[in-house]
Amino acid sequence: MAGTYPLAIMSSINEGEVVFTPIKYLSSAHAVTLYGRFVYGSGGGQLFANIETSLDSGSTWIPIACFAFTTINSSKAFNLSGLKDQISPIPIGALSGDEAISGILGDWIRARVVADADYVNSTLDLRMTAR
Amino acid sequence: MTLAEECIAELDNALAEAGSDAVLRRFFGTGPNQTWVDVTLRVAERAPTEDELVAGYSQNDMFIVTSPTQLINAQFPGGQPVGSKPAWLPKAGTGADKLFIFDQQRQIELVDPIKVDNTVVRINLKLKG
Repeated sequence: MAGTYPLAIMSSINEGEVVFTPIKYLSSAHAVTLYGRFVYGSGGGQLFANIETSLDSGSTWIPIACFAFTTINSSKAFNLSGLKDQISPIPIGALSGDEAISGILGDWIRARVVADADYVNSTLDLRMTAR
Repeated sequence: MTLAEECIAELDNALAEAGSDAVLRRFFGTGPNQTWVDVTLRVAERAPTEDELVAGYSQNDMFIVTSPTQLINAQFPGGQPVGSKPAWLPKAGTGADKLFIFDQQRQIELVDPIKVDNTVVRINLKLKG
């Protein structure tokens, strides 16, 4: 269903990986705009916010975008279309920081956040508009 | 249609006809790092009755009836860490959600979800003005 959905909001970011529950029932969405806003406090090092989609109700996940944040305030956005042709197969695998692939859009989308150190008083806000 | 689905459909129809829009806001973080998630609800509101005022309610208090439909459709409050407790019902008490109704921000004091056969079919809220 079209609309704007929070994918992940973290006001406490610790070292390690946090997987978030997916936003579901997006079968009518042809495109998504992804927005990542990071407000830095202190600590930390590198933070990767991976956006993943699933075509099999969450059994397997395909990375479609990856926001990279460090130790400064930063806001970034991607726009991904599910209608873009991909006539050469795209290898499924981890994306590097600030990288995305367009044309692959399932009906479930989730966030997976990986931090290499504890952040203090920092906030990560990941949102998506599907349309 | 189950009894719970019937109850929700009837409430949704009544709120669509005679209700008002209100925005439920959930906050995350504190101070300059605070952010929030909004969802627009359809609500019916009323002020305390004379008896309730005598019983200690204030004229600024407000009673709200809303439906789970908009909360569920919006998948409120979005992605949550896997394994955490589902938190789509409005929150009262410490770190409570706020409800914006008639351009006024009000604090949620009490959340009373009404269930039929384990399904929330209606949510009663008490607000402080």
